[in-house]
Amino acid sequence: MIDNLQQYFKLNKDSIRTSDEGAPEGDGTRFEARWEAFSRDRIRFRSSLKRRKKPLWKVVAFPVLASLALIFGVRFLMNPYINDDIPQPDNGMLAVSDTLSPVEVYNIYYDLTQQVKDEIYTLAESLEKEDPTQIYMTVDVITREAVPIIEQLPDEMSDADKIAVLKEYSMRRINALNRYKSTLMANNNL
Amino acid sequence: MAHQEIIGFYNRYRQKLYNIALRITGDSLDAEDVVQETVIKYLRSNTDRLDEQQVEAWLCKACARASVDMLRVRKALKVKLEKYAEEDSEEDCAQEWDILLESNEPNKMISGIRKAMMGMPDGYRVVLSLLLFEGYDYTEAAQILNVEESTVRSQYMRGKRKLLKLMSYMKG
Repeated sequence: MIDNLQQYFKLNKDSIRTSDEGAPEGDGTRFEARWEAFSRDRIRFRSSLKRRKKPLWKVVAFPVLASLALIFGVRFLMNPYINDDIPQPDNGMLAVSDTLSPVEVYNIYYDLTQQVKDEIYTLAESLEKEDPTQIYMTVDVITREAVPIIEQLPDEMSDADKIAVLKEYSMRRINALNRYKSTLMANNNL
Repeated sequence: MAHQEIIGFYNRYRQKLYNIALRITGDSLDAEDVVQETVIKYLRSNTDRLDEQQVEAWLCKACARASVDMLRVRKALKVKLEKYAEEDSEEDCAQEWDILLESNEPNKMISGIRKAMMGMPDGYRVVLSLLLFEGYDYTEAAQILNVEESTVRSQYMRGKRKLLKLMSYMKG
């Protein structure tokens, strides 16, 4: 809220301008000199930032090496996860599956998954610190198939490709179950 | 902006900005310094999209801030604001002001107030300048001065009383 004096000034804005003093003489010239000095400093500063021309190979090499380092670096960092999840060549299932049809391979992996699930369910009942319902739900999240993977594979796909997909898909799920089981055991000092 | 445009821009605002700076700093050399710095600051910043009115408001506020900063550096303004707050009465003097304001025509009155203010301590002069001549409200003045709004309010009340005394003395 403004008082009488503030109100007076608001009503008489023009009188403020009338009471103004003139700017000091020669200020324009002084400003001009100052502005020029400022601009000169800025140009000098900018020109000192200019780099010497680099050879083309140096210009190209750095981004290329940086990209390669990034790609391999990420791959290297992700390796533990990638290796754990992809079925290993020395896995006994692989040797057998080469001679089987996709459906048979699917059934073998399905049974294997069930086996690990049962192990976890048995474990869940013996763990005092854990809530069994929570464990069942987690296992369900990992293993649930709204549409079985075997039915999702297109007919145009070769059997060998179907088997490769089934192997990777199933082994990822089994590995996830095994990891969850290990975690539960570690948490309960087993 | 071309060189001539820059000089033209400076000339357009120098008078207004100089008076803002002079009222706050109370020193013509400091005021000129503040005005030039403010204009250079504007020219360096990306404020192309502002219209004429916004440019003026930007410059006026920047100039007021720079003047307060100058005063703060040179004369320890904050210490003074607190010191005088303890010494003077905060009593309002609205009626006395009403009588005084009616006794003269606006041009003469405002010119007299301006002269009287130049002889006042920095703390009062700054607060009175911001609230009366620059038309800022208490919140804006508090932001520019970087103090509490209540400090601005009480400084203003005390400054008003002191100014009234000075005006009566000058008149007498």
